[in-house]
Amino acid sequence: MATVYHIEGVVKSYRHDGRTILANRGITLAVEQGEVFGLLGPNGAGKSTLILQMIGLLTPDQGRILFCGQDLRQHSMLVKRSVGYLPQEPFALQDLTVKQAIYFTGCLRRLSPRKARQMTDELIDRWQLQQISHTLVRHLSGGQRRLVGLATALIGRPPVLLLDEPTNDLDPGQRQQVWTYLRQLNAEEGTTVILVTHNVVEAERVLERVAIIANGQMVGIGRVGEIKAQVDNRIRLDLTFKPNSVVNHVCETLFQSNSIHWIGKHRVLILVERARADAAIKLLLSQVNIEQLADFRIQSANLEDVYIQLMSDWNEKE
Amino acid sequence: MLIGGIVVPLSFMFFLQFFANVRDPEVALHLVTGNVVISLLFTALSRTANRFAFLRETKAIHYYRALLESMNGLVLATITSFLLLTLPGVIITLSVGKLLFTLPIAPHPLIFLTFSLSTLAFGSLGALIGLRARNYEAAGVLANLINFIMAALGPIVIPMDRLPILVREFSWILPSTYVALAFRQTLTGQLDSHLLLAFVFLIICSSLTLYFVNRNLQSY
Repeated sequence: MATVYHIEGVVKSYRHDGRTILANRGITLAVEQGEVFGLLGPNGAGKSTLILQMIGLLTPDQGRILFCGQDLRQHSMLVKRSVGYLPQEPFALQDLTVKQAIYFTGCLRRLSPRKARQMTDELIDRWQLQQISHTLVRHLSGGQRRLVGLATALIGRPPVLLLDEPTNDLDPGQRQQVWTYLRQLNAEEGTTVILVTHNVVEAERVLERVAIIANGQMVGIGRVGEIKAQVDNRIRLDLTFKPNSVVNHVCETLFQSNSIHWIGKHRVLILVERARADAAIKLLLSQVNIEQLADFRIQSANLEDVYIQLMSDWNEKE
Repeated sequence: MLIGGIVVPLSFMFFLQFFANVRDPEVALHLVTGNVVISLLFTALSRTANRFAFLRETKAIHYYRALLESMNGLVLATITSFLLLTLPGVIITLSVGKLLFTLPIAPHPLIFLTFSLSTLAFGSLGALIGLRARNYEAAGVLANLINFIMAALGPIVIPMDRLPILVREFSWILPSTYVALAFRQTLTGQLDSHLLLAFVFLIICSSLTLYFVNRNLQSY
């Protein structure tokens, strides 16, 4: 299998308020042709900076990025012709209608006017944009704008897709539609898909390999199955306390701090070893009145848990 | 666009006739061509500055950079669109000026080159302002300030020999001086070697500005 992206020791810094901030600190990874690859990490981890370098919009301070074996510094045109890019904030073409925005992107991607028109109509049907096809992009909601952005990234069927948060602002039905389509595109046309997403649980269904980045550094990389194996002996206890509950601090007294992860004020995830799960559940239920719980789930670990665990381990090391 | 490109130059021209000796054909010609230059400044320079500041602030520039081989294409396309939007203002200003002051206007075909080079010079300067200003609002303020300097500190509306010496010397570095000169000659059909100088200056000025615009675009 050919390597689409080979990223080698990439370091990138930028100036902000008079300070130098290291956004990427020696990132090394490879993306193979035809895989669905995920870049995960918290806000400000340096994912978008890495993506901007992968699309040729930024140049690494150190290290290099090869696209199909060619150094991007000398061959940025190769990326422009082969990669469909969805930026995190798709604000361009606000003064065009949806149909014009998709069509003109096709023209900029060197499609003939006839082909661009045909593909525009296909994409409008695919993403059910018929009702808004003559509406100016500036008048669309966030979710509609995201779908138009996705359509502009897809026109011309580029062999590589670089999608920065493709499901942000979308409703659950639309998110499902996006994941299904990306999987289908990858299976049928062999399109290489590189995703940046916070929606780890949903993305798990399409991702084959993931790289987890924190504070500009690589925290983990591997096949989803392999990377999950690092924490697959853990059981996830997912508790949501009712508002005004006074017992939510009880978790901290019962479990080690690195296995507790608060999601908001009332929801907590507790990761426990499989062998200790039975005892942990009994202990928890003996201390927490079930009436004070709005929801209580027992699940095996998923990619989100792996992500949370790796981030937690990394934070402790730092 | 309507206010900056048509209403402002027309009002300016209308009120200035009460203070200037418009029976003097040279004064009248300066008044009309000067207002054409003001119309161009408001549309080509200010609008391009606002457009590029917007593209930069919203990161829409990434969209174009991810697709286009050369960013000069984006700059030229933006300037061309404003060139077309500038046309009504220029035609109305000229027509009203001709009627108001009974000017002997006999345009030379080089008027098209004058119009294109002027829009390119102002538009590329606007693009640079939009890319270098701190934010969208600052770009607007800076563009207005440059517009004022270009319109007031040169022989745009007032003939050169009636300007203070310091302003005369300073005016030779302003593209608007050459734009106004070129319009005066190509509109009346009375060409001399100064027109060539104006064209050369505008080409050099536009090329230099476009070079810096392109360099700045690569860093966003």
